[in-house]
Amino acid sequence: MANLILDNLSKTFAGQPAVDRISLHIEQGEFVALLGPSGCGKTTLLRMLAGFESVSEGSIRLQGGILADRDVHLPPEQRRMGMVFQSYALWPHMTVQQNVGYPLKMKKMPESERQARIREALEAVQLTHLADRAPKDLSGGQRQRVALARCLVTEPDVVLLDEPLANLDRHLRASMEETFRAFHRRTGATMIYVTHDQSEAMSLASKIAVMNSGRLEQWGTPQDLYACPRTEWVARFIGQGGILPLGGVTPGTEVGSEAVIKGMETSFGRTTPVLVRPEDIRMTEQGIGVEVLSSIYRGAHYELKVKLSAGAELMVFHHRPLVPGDRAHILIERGWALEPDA
Amino acid sequence: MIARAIPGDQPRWLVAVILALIVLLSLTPSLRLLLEALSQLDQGSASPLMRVLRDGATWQALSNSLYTSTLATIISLMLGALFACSLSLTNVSGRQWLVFCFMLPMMIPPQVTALSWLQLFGPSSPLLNSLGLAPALGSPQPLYSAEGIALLMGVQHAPLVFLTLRASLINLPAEMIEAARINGAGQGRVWLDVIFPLSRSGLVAAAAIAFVSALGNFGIPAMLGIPASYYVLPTLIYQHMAGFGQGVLSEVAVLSMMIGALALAGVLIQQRFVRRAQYELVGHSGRAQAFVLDRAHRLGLQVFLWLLLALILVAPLVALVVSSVVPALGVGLTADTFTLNAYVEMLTRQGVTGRAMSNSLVLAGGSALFLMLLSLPLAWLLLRMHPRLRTAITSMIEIPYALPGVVLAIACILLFVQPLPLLDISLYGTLAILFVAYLARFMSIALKPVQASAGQLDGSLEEAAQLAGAGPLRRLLQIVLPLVAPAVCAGGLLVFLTAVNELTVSALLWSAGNETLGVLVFNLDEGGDSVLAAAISVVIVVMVVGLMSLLSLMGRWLPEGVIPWRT
Ligand SMILES: Nc1ncnc2c1ncn2[C@@H]1O[C@H](COP(=O)(O)OP(=O)(O)O)[C@@H](O)[C@H]1O
Ligand SMILES: [Mg+2]
Repeated sequence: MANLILDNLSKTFAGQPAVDRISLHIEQGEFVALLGPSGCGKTTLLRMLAGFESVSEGSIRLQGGILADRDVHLPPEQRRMGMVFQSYALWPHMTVQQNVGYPLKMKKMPESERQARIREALEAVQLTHLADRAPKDLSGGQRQRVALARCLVTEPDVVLLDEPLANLDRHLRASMEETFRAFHRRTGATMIYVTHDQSEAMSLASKIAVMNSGRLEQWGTPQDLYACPRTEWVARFIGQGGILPLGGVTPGTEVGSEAVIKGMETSFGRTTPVLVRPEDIRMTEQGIGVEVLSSIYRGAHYELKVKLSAGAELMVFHHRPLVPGDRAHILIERGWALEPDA
Repeated sequence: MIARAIPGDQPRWLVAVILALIVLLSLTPSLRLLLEALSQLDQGSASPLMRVLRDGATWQALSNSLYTSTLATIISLMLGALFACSLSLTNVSGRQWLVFCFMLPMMIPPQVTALSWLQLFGPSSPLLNSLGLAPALGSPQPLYSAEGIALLMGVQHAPLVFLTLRASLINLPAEMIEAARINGAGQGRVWLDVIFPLSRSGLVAAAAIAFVSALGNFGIPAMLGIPASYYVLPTLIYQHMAGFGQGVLSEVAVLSMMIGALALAGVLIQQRFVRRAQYELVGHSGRAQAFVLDRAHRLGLQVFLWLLLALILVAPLVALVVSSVVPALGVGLTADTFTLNAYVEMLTRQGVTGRAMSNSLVLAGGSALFLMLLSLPLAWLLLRMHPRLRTAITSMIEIPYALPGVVLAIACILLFVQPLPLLDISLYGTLAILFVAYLARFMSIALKPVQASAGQLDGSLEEAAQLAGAGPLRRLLQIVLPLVAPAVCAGGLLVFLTAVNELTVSALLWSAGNETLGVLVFNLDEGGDSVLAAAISVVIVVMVVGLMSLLSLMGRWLPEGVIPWRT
């Protein structure tokens, strides 16, 4: 049963669409990433879910009840959502404990029960020993965990996170990602996680919505997006690989190695872009002739950039380096036919 | 231009000349005053200090000062907070105009404010007479009272509260408020739990600056209090000087020291809390508009704000204009009574009017020019100084501006009442004493914009010129000056705007033949010639609005915050 439903959701700022007719059905307890380049409308979409922006067109529904549409606007404080802000938004005049306890105070929970819940939440993020500190005396990662605890304490139905790792260094990110996973397991809440970093989205989310200029490009599991991207744009945005224009293939289908060779021969006239991932290419003694453009050492393998005689470029992994200018042969085992960009 | 200590990089003579000038202008008057106030202590109970402390009038004036200033501060806080919250936290439209109009009372000289409000109320109000609403002749003028003084000072200083509070509200990150909303706090709770605690330091700082300004205000208690024999400390000093002249200088110095100490305490509180307000929110980027009002509420709020402005700004100014075009006070304005006589008289017959005008223009223009010339090298040197030394010098420059005007005036009299040593020239009783006092008082106004602008320059600009072989003076003139020129001009205009209407310092330092515009309005009103005073005031208001608009137009070449009424 779909739990959070976005139906044709749109937002325009002074006539300019920031979010453009987005429809999503999000299941209870799903970990969803909103992924897209900077400025594509992710934050705007999240703020509409939270209730900080009004809805221009379309509607948002949660568990059957309407949260917002053109006429209705439930204020944020009545939506039973939690949010982790990019700047954490911890109140500087309250201690860690008071920050975490504030949502409970708003619910008029009795003091004793409140203390227990605060302790539990702080334990979950391993901050019990810092309960009486002021936010300014915490490190970036600790602040992030306080913000999480503040979210966790009321057990909200939906947790919204806006690029929560953007302000942290690379080392802290890995450990915070683990914290988010644990948080999700523990609460079972529906999580909506905004990021522009595809590897973050792939490693955390169970479903990803890829956005581009306010529109939804694709909605699927990380595996779907990687293996079967819908459009050329998504293919370029997610993962590595090259794109070949091939004739005689249908968008949205897999292309085998014979079809690739046949497609290359008929590549004049109407063609379809076909994504070829580097792990689907093998270096062989004979096959398609290519010229080596560059060869970079990546630890596990060498990453070669090669050029086909028709001009297209592909990426290949190989166990030893080649010299730029060398000639070589490759075998393409699998490709994925894409819809061309509008 | 990031402060970098490059030894020997500044021409020594320039440093020496400028430092000497600052010490002379900023420090010597206050020190002279202190010396006088604490003199003859060996005489015990006959010393000036003890005589003043024993005088009942001193304590009455002190208590009056505290009462009017406290009341004025409350009024300023209410008005200023209302405008600051509406304009920085909500989506009301037309903010540019609202800010401009709200700031106007601060720029209009207090004696003009007092005069225009006096024309608004009372039995002889031309406006009320024109509308047939005037109270019976002989009924009292309600503004001749402690509460009247407090009301006008409250309106005049509300913009200071607005500016201080807005600075802390603008820095308040919208996410702090949103975090409270999503955690279940309604609009009311958000005010109580987030906005108020986070802007508390700003509020204290705003209250302190409003209080200090009210304490030092001379124009309003002089115009409203003296007719009712209600004296506050600045008017008591004025009255002593007017009545007894130089014979009571020592006593007056003690009174000045008292009010100076009170003001200084207020300034220290203000600075402390301003710093704390900045500190609290460090590391967050602010974004305004935490409350997006729907159409009805927004319109409602806008109408309310404009009505308030109509009441505190437009109505008095209309009354002022009406008063300037009737033949005499108490006469209503009709098609028959309309006359421009006062304006004709101001421009042609009254010799003193022309003299005051040209005196004020010369004084204000001269100080503006001099301070513009000084502010560039001064700002440049300050940026290269050790931070401690820089703070010390900036505070020194701040003293004559922060102290109430009467205090500076008395200090200048003490300093110049004897002929200057060595030169044997007496400045007392000439325009020169006013000029020196203006320089001391307004140096900080001229310096601040230049400092802000120069501080934004990238140090590498100058370093590149240095590598190209340009010496310090050449760099200052060819690299720094073109880049900070708008700020230098803005500083000059602000000085001119403030100096041309100055009353407090001038009221004590003017002499026959050396009147200024501010003093003229005051004297004419005291002498019962309110119609002429109103006409001159109208001209002053037009000039103020014109200069403010000119500064607004320059705004986009200036760093943020240089022009207070630009958002
Ligand atoms: N309050 C606003 N007023 C006008 N335009 C806005 C506002 N908020 C966002 N936008 C515009 O909407 C677009 C999407 O912004 P945003 O949702 O912040 O993107 P993202 O979070 O994906 O980087 C941008 O072009 C941005 O300029
Ligand atoms: Mg964003």
